[in-house]
Amino acid sequence: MKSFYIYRMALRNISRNRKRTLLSAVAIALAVMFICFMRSYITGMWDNVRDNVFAFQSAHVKIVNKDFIKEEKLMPLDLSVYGYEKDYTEVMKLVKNVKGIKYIFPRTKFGAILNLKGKWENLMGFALDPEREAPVNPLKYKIVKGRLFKKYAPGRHEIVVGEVLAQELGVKVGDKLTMMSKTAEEGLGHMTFKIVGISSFGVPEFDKLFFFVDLSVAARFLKMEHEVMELGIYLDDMDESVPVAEKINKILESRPDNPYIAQAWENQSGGQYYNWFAMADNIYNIVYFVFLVLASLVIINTTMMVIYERMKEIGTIAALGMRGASIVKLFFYEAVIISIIGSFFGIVAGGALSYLMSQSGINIAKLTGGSLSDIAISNMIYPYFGLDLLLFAFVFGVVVASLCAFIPASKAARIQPVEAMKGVL
Amino acid sequence: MKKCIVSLLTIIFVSFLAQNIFALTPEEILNKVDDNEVFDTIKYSGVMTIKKGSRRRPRVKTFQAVARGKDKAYIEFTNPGDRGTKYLKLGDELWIKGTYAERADKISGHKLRDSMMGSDYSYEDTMDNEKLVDRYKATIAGAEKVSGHDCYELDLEAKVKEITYARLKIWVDKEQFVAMKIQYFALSGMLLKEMTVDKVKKINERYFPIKVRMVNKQRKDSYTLFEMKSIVLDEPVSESMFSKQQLEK
Repeated sequence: MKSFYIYRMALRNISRNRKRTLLSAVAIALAVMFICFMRSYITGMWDNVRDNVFAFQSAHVKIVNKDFIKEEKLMPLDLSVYGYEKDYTEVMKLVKNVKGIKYIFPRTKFGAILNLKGKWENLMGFALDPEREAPVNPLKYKIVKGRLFKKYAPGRHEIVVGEVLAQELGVKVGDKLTMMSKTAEEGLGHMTFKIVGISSFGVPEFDKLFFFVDLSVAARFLKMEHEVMELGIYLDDMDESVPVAEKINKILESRPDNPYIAQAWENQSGGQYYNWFAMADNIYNIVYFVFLVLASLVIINTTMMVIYERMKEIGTIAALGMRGASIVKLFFYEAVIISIIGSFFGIVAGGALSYLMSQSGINIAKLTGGSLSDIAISNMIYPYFGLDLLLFAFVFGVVVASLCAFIPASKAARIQPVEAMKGVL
Repeated sequence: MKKCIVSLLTIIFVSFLAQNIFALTPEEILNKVDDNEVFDTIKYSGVMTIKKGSRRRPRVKTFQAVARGKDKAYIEFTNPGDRGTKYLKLGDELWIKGTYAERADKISGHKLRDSMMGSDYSYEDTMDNEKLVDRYKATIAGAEKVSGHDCYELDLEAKVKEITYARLKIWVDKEQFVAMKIQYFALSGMLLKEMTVDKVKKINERYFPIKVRMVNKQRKDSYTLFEMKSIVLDEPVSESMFSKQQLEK
């Protein structure tokens, strides 16, 4: 029998029993919607973690003092990037033309302590140039009260503190904080800062621990006027981090007694970030696989049930002369048509949900009661939305539904018409 | 012949008596050390040269210091990197004020045991001016030469509970009664630091160590050379030096 006739028969069968068709299509649509949204949510969540780590911690490549790596946990400020003769900008100029580098930002992260009514609070300072870092570091968009700090001027030492930290310290915009830190000269840094802004990155870990300050202010506080702790490098393509770091190291090593090293994010902190992301990817894949299995089970169950339920019909059409491959084709076409319809509505619903959530965000702190407060995930997760997401979910729905129609249909095609009519399989 | 033997025996007996009757007790040795090293007031210009492991270069820090008794001390750093950093000790409290701070901060408790300005001295070490004899019970462990000086070797056990170093081992110059070397031990018996005197100066009839080297035995290749210049001992010092107002100026 020609495929065209079988196709027309399949269409007629679909419209003949609308309830049955609707049941199959709805099951497929729900499964596709679920897969679409879960992929959107999980991708959004891990993208969020990666963005936070790359923006605050690792950059794509970092240039640091070689000796700093050995004592990284102690954050020794005297093992800095101080240039060769003048200051750290010499190192920036030396490597800025390496192919693949998009931005180089001087940064200093440092520990500080705050005497709060006799109790010492440990804090982390992040000194940066916010204007220069704007394309990567979203600090200026994260100010929820007040404004961004200004550069140093005599008597002007401005900071932005994290929202959670401000709440814990009971301070507000306009208040002053006096902090201490060890300086690069191993001396005592002691400065009174004026809070000009409160930031909220939505990452409880950061918002509780970090305060932000202009590099020019930190330079006075830490006695680091010509040096910084690291040069954070962002690339056109972050997957090129290892070869770009190698190129930078070749240039750095061309200087006699070079004290610096470029490290791709994969190799930083003993591969900590890489291992962490690899583990996260594995978890992601396992979780997503479980979701795929669950969604597939819904589709398989519905599709097979519908075919088994039509055993007598298969026996009848076989008795009328339709045989083997034609019967399989008939049910396959039916499954493909229903799965296309179901998957379409599935991606419309799942896509709409993902898009809306990607705009409004999901407050997971509220959903989890704040239980994720110790990891680098923002309170607000913005699910991912993209055409690849819709395409994947659509193909998934069609392929799973169509393939699982084969199994009962080919079995049915092999049995005698009489047995099929009796409903024996 | 008989007379000769009697005379010889007499000499031996007398010198034995002299050695035992006129020998100093450990407390007397400590008292003599305290008489030399514990002051009523002091003013000096200090230089600390700090070497830490494989760091780029030794750090040199200069400062002016004034102290009265065991309770009051004021230090102001003058080297470019730390200019304006001030410390004030008032009893058990240590106040700190940096160049860019609008108010002083108090350091107390375990923070006093932190390194001062990255040196091998803790805040407590630098502000210490208490008599050894008040805090430690001494026993003589022997005699040894240190840097060419004949020294008594004393073991000191803490008499008081709340003390940073539970045990000291000190080598006291037999002539000048200056502690030429001190080893500082934790309660566990672990050697924490070792101080050796490089230079002693006679000031107002007392011998005062003016150049000492402190080695932190818990850090590799780390030492601090502490030198005092223009020392003035036991001269009147203005009380206003030791006020918080002066510190926060």
